[in-house]
Formats: sequence, C-alpha cells, structure tokens
Amino acid sequence: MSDSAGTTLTERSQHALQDDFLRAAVKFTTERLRGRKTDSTNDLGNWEEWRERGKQIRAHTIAHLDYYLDQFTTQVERAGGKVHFAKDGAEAVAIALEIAQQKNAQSVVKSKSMVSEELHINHHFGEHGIECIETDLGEYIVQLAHEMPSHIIIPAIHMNRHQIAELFSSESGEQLSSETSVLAGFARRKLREKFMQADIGMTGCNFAIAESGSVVLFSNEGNGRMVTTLPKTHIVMMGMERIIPTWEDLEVMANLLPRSATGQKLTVYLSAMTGPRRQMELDGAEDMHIIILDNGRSNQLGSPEFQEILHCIRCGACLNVCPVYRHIGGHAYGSVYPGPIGAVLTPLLNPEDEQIQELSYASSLCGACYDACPVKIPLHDMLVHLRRKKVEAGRTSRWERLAFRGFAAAFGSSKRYRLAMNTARALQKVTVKDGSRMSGFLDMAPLIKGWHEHRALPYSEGKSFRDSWQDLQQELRSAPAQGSPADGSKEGEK
Amino acid sequence: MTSKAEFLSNIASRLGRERVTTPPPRTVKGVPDFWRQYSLSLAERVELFGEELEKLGGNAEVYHSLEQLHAGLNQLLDELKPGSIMTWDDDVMQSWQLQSVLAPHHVLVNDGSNFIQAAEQCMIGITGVDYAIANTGTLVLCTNREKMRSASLLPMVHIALVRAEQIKTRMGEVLENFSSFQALDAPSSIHFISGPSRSSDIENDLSIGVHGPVAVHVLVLT
Repeated sequence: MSDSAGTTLTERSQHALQDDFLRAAVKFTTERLRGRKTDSTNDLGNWEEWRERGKQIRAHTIAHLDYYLDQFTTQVERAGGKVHFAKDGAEAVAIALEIAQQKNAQSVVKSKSMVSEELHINHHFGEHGIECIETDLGEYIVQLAHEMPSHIIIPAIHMNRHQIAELFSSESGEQLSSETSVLAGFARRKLREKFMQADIGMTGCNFAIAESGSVVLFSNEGNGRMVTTLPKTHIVMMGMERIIPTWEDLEVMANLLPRSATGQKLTVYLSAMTGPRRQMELDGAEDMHIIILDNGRSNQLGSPEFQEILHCIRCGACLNVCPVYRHIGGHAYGSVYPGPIGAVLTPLLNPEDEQIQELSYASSLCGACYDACPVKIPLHDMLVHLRRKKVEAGRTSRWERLAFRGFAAAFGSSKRYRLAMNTARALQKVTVKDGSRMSGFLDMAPLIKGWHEHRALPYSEGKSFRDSWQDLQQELRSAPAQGSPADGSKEGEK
Repeated sequence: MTSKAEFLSNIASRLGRERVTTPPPRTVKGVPDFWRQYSLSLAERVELFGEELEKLGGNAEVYHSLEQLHAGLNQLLDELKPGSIMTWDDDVMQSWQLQSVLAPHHVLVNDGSNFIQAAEQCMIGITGVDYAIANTGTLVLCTNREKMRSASLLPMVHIALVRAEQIKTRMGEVLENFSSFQALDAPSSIHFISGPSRSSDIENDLSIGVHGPVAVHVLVLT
C-alpha cells in the first residue's frame, strides 16, 4: 500500500515544494473545502453534538464489529448477493480476479474505491489482460496520466486544465480546448461508451447497513449509479470497518460525511443497493459480490491507542486543515492514504515497512485534524503514540538518541542544568549578533541544522533569571505590602 | 480463502472476548433529539424543497391541479423537443394520467428487448417518486421492474412527478420506512437524488451533468 518506491518523506516533500502549480492548487482546494465545511456545519448548527453522535455510533459499531458483520453478510446472502472474506490484499485480489475470470470479463468500470487503490487492483487486473477504467472524473484523469491521486476527495487537483486537455486530446485523437465544459463533455461521452460495454462494475462502499444488508454509495457525478446499473456483475470492495447498524444511523452519516468532505448538505446521489437486481427487473447487476477486506485493520482492534482509527469515514476533512498537507499535497506522503489519516493508517497497516513509519513525523502535532474530524478520531494523539513506538523499537537516528541522552544528562541535576545554560549563553555569542542570526558553524551542526537555517536563537544580555533570583528575592522581601504602589503615587494616577 | 467463521472469530479475539451473537444494547441510535423534532408544515416543506432544489441547479414548479400540471409538463416537453422518452410504468405512474401529454411523443416500451440500449438513447426520463425530502431538495426513488433505475439516470433530462404529501422534512422520516426491510423485501436499489449530476474535478471548476442527468425538473402537485 505504500508507494514510496525507495524515496523518503523529506525527498518527496522537497520535490513537492518545487512545484508551484501544485502548491497553489493544494492551497486553493484545501482552503475552499475547509471554508465550505465551516459554512455548512455552521448552517446545520450544533455541530459538536453531531460529531459526538457520529463518534458514539462508530465506536459502538467497531466494538461489536463481529456482530454487525455477521448480520450484514447474512442479509446480503438472503438478498441474493455473495460475500467473500479476505484477510489480506493478496487474498482480496485473488478473489476479485477469480470472479472476473469466471465471467470472462475483459473490462471493469470503477467508481471511487480507496480500498481498490490500496490493493492496486487496476495493476493486477491489467496483468491478466483485464482493463480497469476509472470513471470518477478526477480518478479518470489521474489514470490517464499514470499518476496517483493526490487528495482523497478531489484526486486531480495537482493537474491544471491544459494538462488535462492534452491528456484528453491524445485519448480522443482530436484537439480539445481546455474549457471545463468541453473536457467534461468528452469524459461523459467517452465514459458512457465504457459503462455500456463493461462486463463488471466495481465500487467501494461508503457504508454497509447491517440490518438490511445494503451497500450505500455517496457520489456526485452519477458514476456510482452507472457502474451498478449497466454491467451485469457488481463487485463491492469493502473495508471491514465500513459498517453501520441501521438505516436510522445512516441519517447521522448523511449529515456528517458530505458536509465534512465538500460542504454539501448531501451528495447528488446517495444509492443503497441490497443484493443484485430482482427477477424480472430490466437493469442493475445480475450478480453482486462483496469482498470484505482486513489487510491489517483487525490488528487495530483491542488497541486502546489505535482502535479508533477504524472509525474513519474517509471524508478528507483532516487533509484540508493539516498545515503539512496544505503545503506538500498528497503525493509526498507516498501512500494511498495521504494527510493526517494516512500518516496514521499507513504505518499501522504496514508495520513491516520500516521507511513508511516516518509518516508519523509528517505532522506539527497541532491537533487541527482532531478538531476537524466529524467522528472525533484523536489522530494527533495517535501520531505521538506512533512516534513513541518508533523510539521503543529503536528505529531512530543515532543523533536523536545521543541528543536525548545529552538532554537527560544536562537536565538531570540542577547543577548540570545551570552549567549547560551558562555554556549555551556563552555559545550564543557566536551565532547571534545584534539580535539577528549569524551564519556559522551551527549551520552545519547535525540535528539542529534544519531548525537553525530559518531561526535565530534568542539572545539575552545580562544575568539569567536564576542568577538574578537571589537579588530579586531580597527586593521582594523589602517591598511594601501589596496594594500600594512603591513610588508613593496614588492608584489610578499612573 | 478465509471463512466467515475465521474472520469473525479473529475480530472477537482481538476485542478480547467471545463472539457476540445477540443484538448488543445501544444507548445512542440515529440522530440527536433536536433533529428528530425538526418538522415543517406541508406548505413549508413544499417551499423549502423547491428552494433547496434550485440551489442545486434543479428546477421545481408547483401546480394546484392535475390539469395545470399536465399543461406545465406539455410546455416543458415542447421546450425540450425530445427524441425518445422513457417512463416508469407502475400503478402510481398510471395515476398521473399522462397518456394525452405523452401521445405526440415517442415513448419507449419497456418490453425488455434491448432495453438498456434503447433507454440510453432516450433524452428524457419521467418518473414518480416514493418520497421527497425538503431539507436537502432530494427525490427518493425505490427500484422495481416498473420503476427502473435507468429512467432517472441515463437520459439527459430527468422529470419527476411528486405529490406534495410525499415530501418529508428530513431524511430520517423516509428512512423509518426502510427499517422493516429484510433482505429481499428491500428494493434492489434506493436512490436519493439531489439535483443534476456535478463534479469539480477539473481545476475545482464546477461541471454539471457529468454522468447522470444534466437537468432535473420536478413537478409538484398540491
């Protein structure tokens, strides 16, 4: 699931920071989505109560996940659908391939599914000669460009219309202008052909309703409806945690998800599929398969620190408020899930990937993600827990360990502390002059070099507070009683 | 292949307990109380529904008699000049008595042969609704053979006929009707439709009518 391909977070971030268009696009998109969420949640009112509600429902569901999955899958089967359980990505891909091969499928039209990206389904199907076509407009664009999506909700924000026009022009064989209506018109016509011809429709699952065995999809473009109306077979890729108990609970999610993702009151389409088409119906899939995926999710159950990560409803609100994401965009995370959710989920789902554990450092720990989360997942706490785990596992740099040992030594006794502080004050004279930084050897010092490049140490003249304390104490003891100004002037006159 | 029993047992053991097989008690279910109490009068619901739909780029007209509604529909069809039209053909649809309005137009017969190809060629889809929601300007359509999914999806224009009493204040009132569904009782699909299809994937610029209908016209009969 991590696509870092041997690069580091720092390298990818540096790369992202050079791309002016990307930075402007990410800034614009995140500000806009953030602003719209704020307007929309203020409009609804009592947002904190809604959040608490969402959290309670998700918490109850995850705490009883075995019960609700049992109920859900039993109902799906009663409605004529088929259910498959996959403990990991490889199993899920194998199951999907088997279904496709049984149907002699040559093409699959997909509406948005993060799980399918987690599994690199398109790649695996491609290797078996089965074409997977993304139909969400943004996903279609990144697919044509052979790129990864850079945002959960708006995947192609890193591309400008001229790039998109070029892509579509070469796909269509004719020169298309870069006007939105022309580009969208091309996508509509082209993808419609694909919808009509495809053998399989593949979707994700925003919420699975346990009480009736229904799969609920939220979409704006209508592609979610197209891929579940036209092809004969429907495959649902479902993370095991994407479940809610009842229809009644859907109303809560319907108020939380669209407002958090884009500020809409509701997405244009909210579709609930319960099994395949009934006998005699003229449209809809004839065969429905739901693949329920674990892939490391169940490892978070029972963990008081990380179980709540399974509450996520994939709205993307945390991306839009994160000071890190807003600067580097999604690709820099090198994983399918970017932003704060990705910084926690990706290391957790890939514990054997040492490099990707660094994602927990893609954060200033400001906590904005927690504030933004519609189901109150304490992502900011989880990032600290992940860092702690990394330290406990001994996976930190030699310099960091040395620095902390030095810290422990210096701050371990008041004598050593004072010596350290006085030494530091003396050293300052080498780096700060007239209140501004001087370049010098500290620019090359390991560990603090990054910090020092852009900041000046505070420089103070005279004695430190500690050294002055003796004299200050004397002053205090001989000062007049509180309430009367020392210089004899009356109160209020100063 | 992992079996269901293995999958569920793994979950239970991670949670540090035996499998739960009876409905776990819940203290928190559905929306907060203040939202349950949100309820508007019929006239308010009709008005709000129209307002919300207009905000989404859809169109709502209110008529006070079936004759007026027929006249309105006639006018709309004249403006749109459709090639083919597809319609729902359940009993409720029959009760709208559209025969005379539709007579001059080519209407698809839903006999199943090449249905999808024919439906795809239709410019207009005319449906009823099962419910509507004022709060979000939403139409709720339940699928069966006579109330096919394609009618509200494939054509460029979706025309929906709504009786005012079908309009509820909020979504929960509609969802209550689904709580009793058990598997096959449930419609194979239920669609909540709020306006024409849209996307902002190209440089955050809004496009209308990406895959679903480009226009949604709702005729409300009070």
